[in-house]
Amino acid sequence: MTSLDAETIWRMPKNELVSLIENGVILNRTGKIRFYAPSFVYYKTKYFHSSHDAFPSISITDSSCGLKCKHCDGKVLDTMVPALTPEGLFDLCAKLKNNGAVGCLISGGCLPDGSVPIDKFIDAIAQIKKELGLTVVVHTGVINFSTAKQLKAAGVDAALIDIIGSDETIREVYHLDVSVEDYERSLRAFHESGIPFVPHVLVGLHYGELKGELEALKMIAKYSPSAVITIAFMPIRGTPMENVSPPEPEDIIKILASARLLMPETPLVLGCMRPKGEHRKRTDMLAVKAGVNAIAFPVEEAIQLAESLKLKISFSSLCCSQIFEAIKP
Amino acid sequence: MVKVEDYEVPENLCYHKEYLWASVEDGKVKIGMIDFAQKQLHDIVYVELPSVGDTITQNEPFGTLESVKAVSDFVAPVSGTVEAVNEELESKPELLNEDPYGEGWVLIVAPSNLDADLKAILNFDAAVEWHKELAKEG
Repeated sequence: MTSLDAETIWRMPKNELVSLIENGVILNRTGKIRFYAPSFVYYKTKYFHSSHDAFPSISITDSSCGLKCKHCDGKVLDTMVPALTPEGLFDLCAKLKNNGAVGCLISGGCLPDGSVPIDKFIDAIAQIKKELGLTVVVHTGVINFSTAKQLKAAGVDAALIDIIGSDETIREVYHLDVSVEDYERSLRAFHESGIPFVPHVLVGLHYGELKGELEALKMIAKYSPSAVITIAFMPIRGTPMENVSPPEPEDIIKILASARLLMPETPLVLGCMRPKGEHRKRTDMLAVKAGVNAIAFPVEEAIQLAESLKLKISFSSLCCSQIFEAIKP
Repeated sequence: MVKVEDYEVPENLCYHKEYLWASVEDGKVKIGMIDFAQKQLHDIVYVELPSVGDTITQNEPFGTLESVKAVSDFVAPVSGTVEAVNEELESKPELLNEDPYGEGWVLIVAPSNLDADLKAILNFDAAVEWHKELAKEG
């Protein structure tokens, strides 16, 4: 067999890819898999029950977003707990800590330049880290070196960013006047600041089709991320893309497989946003077979599959971006 | 119908603390999701339900639902044999959000242990108190 690389996987017909995965050819297995269920989503199965307060998501802009991307239209923000001032953020985190929280995701809508307005919250985040000891992960959007360095100094446990590898997608879906190079600059800023960072690749963001995902992965691979999370476009009611078909499970697995070949030692995760129902079952099952290191909110069938493959299974209430902490030697 | 803060609580139903209601009509039990749950879950996008003829057992899972904010089981408020399934939910799961006490009903079962099962779930007055606690917790 010729040696496999990400380009080959990218061009490979879906049935061939599935065959390789079914035969365990592509990905190395660590013998372990970790399942995550933070409080972003109410998750209850016979295996694990998420806690209401253990690891919630917080929006520093409430439901306001300057981009209103076609796939989201700010609707995901509606599901988060709002904290609009630094004082409000600290007070909310103190309350969450009293209720048993172990951490939180700090997120929010973007400004028209693609950044999340996190700057004015950095002192509050430093205070949360120092006085409350919570695990704090932050969605940043496009970022510069100065802000990345300040987040590192504040003690942020991981910075999260969606990386887009197509200018056309950035322009058409995100309505954003930046380029792929700006995302690369963000990756460089994280890398040079020393903050742990966990890029996300959103499969099918371009109207459900694959487009800039491989370019995004190639860019990410240059900067030694702490982990990489693959998520997938899912149609959300009331958004301009509500009637767009999501990418197929095999498309999602193609990106996971490409990521593994580009970054053999980097923890890979199937993240929380992905299509639901039967689609999710197939995606999760294929991801387990493909040797993914972690899955957020797995279907029960995927857990059962992991058991049958004799993988060592663990569960966590943290955000799945923390996989790099869990598999430290 | 009373409202506890933002949440509707109809008077003629029984309530299970796994967020489903039960309504006894002509010896059958209609089951659906409470308003509080659908509001907490946001847009429900997928349901998986049992088939007619299957049996369900009180406090045991009988199906699954997924929303932007949830991946969870439906847990049975009573035991019995499934006599009807709301097939429309398969293509229009949003009915659970839009009309949880009406068009968004989930199952009709022939109960097998009704008297005992009803004693183990909440009547209207108890459900109002429970909703007050839920509203406080947010």
